[in-house]
Amino acid sequence: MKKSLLQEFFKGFWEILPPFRLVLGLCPILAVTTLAENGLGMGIATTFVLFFSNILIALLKNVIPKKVRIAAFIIIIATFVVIVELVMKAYFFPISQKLGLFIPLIVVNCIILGRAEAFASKNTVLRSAADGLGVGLGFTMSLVLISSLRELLGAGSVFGIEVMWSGFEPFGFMVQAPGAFVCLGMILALINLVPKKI
Amino acid sequence: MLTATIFLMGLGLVASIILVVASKVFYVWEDPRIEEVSDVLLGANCGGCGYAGCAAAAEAVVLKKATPDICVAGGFEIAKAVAEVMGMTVEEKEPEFSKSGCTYGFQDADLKYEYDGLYDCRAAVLLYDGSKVCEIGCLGLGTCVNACPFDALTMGKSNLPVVDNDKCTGCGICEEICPKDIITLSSATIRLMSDQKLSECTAPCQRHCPAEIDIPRYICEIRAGNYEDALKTIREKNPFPLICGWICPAPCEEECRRNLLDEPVAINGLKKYVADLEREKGEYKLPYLPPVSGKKVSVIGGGIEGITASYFLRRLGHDVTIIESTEKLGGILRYVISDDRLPKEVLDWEIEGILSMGIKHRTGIAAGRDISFDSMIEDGENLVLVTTGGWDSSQIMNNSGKSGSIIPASDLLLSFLMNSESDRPSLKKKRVVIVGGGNSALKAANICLEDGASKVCLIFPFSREEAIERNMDISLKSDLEIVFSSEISELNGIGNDLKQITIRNEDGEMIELEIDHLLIDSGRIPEMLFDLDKDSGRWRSVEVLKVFGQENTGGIFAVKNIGRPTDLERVVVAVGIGRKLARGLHLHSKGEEISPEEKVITDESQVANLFRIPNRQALINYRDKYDPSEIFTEEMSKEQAERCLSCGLICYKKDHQVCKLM
Amino acid sequence: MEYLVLAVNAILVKNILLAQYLGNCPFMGVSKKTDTAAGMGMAVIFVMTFATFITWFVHYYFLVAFNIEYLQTIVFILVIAALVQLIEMFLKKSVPALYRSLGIFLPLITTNCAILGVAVLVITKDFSFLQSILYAFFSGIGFALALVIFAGIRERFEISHIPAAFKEMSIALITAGIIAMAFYGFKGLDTSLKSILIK
Repeated sequence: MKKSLLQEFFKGFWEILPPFRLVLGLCPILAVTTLAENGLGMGIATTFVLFFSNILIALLKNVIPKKVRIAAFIIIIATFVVIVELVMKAYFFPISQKLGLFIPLIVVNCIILGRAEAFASKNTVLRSAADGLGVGLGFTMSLVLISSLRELLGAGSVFGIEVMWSGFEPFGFMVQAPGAFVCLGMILALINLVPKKI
Repeated sequence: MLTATIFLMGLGLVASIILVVASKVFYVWEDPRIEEVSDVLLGANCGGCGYAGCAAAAEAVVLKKATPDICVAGGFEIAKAVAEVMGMTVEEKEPEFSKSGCTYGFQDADLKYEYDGLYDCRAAVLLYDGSKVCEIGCLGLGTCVNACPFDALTMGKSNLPVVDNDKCTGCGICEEICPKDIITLSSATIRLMSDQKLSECTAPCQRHCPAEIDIPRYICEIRAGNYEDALKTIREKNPFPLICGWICPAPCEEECRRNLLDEPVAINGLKKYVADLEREKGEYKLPYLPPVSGKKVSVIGGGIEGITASYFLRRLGHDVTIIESTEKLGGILRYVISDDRLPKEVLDWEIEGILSMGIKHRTGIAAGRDISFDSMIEDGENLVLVTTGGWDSSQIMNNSGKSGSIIPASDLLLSFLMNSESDRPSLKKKRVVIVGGGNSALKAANICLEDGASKVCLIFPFSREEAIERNMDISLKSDLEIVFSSEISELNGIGNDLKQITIRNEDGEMIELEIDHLLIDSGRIPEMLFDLDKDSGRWRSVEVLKVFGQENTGGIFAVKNIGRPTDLERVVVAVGIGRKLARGLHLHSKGEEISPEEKVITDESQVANLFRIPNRQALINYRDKYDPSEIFTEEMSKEQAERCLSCGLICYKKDHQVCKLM
Repeated sequence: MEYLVLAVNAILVKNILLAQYLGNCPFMGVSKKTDTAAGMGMAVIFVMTFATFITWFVHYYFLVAFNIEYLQTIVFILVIAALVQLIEMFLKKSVPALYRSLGIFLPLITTNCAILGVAVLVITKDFSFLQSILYAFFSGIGFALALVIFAGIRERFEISHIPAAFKEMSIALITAGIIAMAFYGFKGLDTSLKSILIK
């Protein structure tokens, strides 16, 4: 049974929600989620790449020879990453400074290559666009969720706005590497409690 | 802008040129079929085939180190696909599934202690063999479930593994990982071939059945109303459920634990009920029959034992022909058992059903008289199985009383002694071997010498001292040799002549004796299998009955441990032996060694401290009431099936109505 | 002595997996068994050093020379992908034994962000050529070390009773967090080492 365009779009929000349902693309999730702002920035950057690379790959799917498809996908993705990189440096300099290394690393984010291989190379442009946008936004959502939580507990604020009471002692642990792993693990366990299809 | 474009193009070009060159320079020729075969294989890398992953298995297939049906997990479909790549053909194999052998989980079983450690059966088993009192009980920690690469196993409600037969591929990983050997591969062939083992959960009734029918299982199936399945279960071990329903003395019922309470479950009655149902419908249900691929087997003797052996041989894929000297199959059951104990229609129904499986039969042909031995064994593709029964049966069947030589140049001692001089075979200048330890054997020896035999050799089953104790005249005569404490392990000859026997003496040494004629003292000609050695053109006997017991030393005329197979006083014993013959023959035909199975339950083995039922009054009362001609109603059968306590080794259904009755 | 500090830093203090969040996909993916983890670790050490070697040259002799540094990402990933392919072919022909043990991991490495990450990192840190190579080598060792430790622990999950919701990934992530915490204890080791050495 084929899914409707809307279903293709929304499946990214729950059914295959990265990184909880699709445990891929962990590096940015762990690295940039110390502040909600960073999470959002990373999410949008990834969504941009995912959306356009999905469209381009779906367009070119009949042209690319099967043997070198992975290499071709990587080049296409890399092109969009370079665009994002330059745009961010030009217009959102502070946030691109903070994300630093992880912007070029979007190239090797398995979610993007995974969607290209599993979906865009087999489906129409419209569907691939819906899929890319859905998964990208789902990813952004997860990033914002995790980063808000980490920022809330680790610094007492969300998006830079103080929300905790004045005597709140931030958990330094949460903004460090161990906190990132544990936090993601806990959220994953919580999500596992909810069935895949609601 | 221009630089960037040129640079990127240049880089792409350089990289691709390097790769193109490299792919030529570093080219390694690989058989393209390896990749094709790996594509076809399941790709689960389960290792069930014994190779490290699917790629290695594919390589082995292409290098002809393995056959296309290598993928145990993939089944026939995969094997066919692999064979297609390789341009070969494969034969369909019967599917194998895992089967759990434990029926009582933690809630119901007796425990030694509460286990709370590493969640793995392999760890749990280290502590006093696991927490269950039952030594072979499932520990229920799901090690097999985790190990299954195909998600075919789940832990059921009662903490026992449940197999999803649709997903199970029969790879055997669960079997390997289970420290208790509870979960094992099972297919009809495996079940047909295997005997009850100490490592299996068996009920007392089942252990006492000479045919080894899985009684608790068929009763359970009857309880659930699956009458056809119940019949299938019975026929895995006994092709004659209806006949046994009529005349089996039901040793199973003697051991039924219900005897301790009121009276046994009508085990035999239930068996007859499901068989009756099928007969009422008039449609004999055939089991799964593999294509005929095995050897041609001539079974001499169409009695219950011969038909049983033929039935199982057919189910194992052999081409069977039964040769019977009278006009109809059935043996003792047809000619001795009276009509009111066993109606002839019942006998005919079951025999016809079995023959409809594609078993050929030739009646009215006596082996050795109408058909020569060498014609049966001629081209080396044939095996001859002898299940002719005893002196009494030859008396009944032939009504001749004359000695007949089913096996070339051999007679039953009793026939030999009873025949008048003119009917005896000519022994002039012949070397005669007599197997036996009685005075009749000595008497026969004297007759042989009188008839002019050049040499007579007596094979004694016991020692010189014992012979003296029995007041036997063992004084030495010329031309008479006595070998004490020995047994015959092999006969061989050429064409229709017996040439040589091999005897095993006291010290286990093998001695070969040249021979012209053989006299056998037991009441019947033992079950024997003959095979032709293509190179020498000689035929030789094979010890198919090694399947009995654990300590059988061999010897085709004396099988230790189970007593002599001559005593087939009950039809169900003949059925049991018929199946074991089929197993031995099947192993031999595949070129495998016929070795007894390990840990087989015998009469002597101690099974989980179970005592025999001491007071048999309940049983006697029950037997008085049993009338085989009465047909069970469905309610009666349900009621009887409900009464079953579903005994295992230790466990039984405790929350049963037993409590109310006590 | 400077290189000792570099080694301690790359292997323990700033472990690429546990402190720098690079290469976490294979960290979660190929850590179910110790031997596969070791194989992957070896492959990463090998490719990481080699890739950094090449990309360093490409960066300074082409990108900087032609003033097209903004193409860094796309050029690096292209070079790494081609390199991995080349290594795979080379090993298959010349060292089949090594190919058999590392071969299946090589394609995975193309999309391993640790490789690209280190290649970019040595550029942003302005390391000299020798420093870059050593840094990449030691980072690879750090990767392999963390991976093998983690796989060793994960092997034991198979026989532990884990609540259903925590099974597989969830417990693995939490465990990684705890290992990261242990590695956190090395923090400051490099500065103290440096101060001792300078004395």
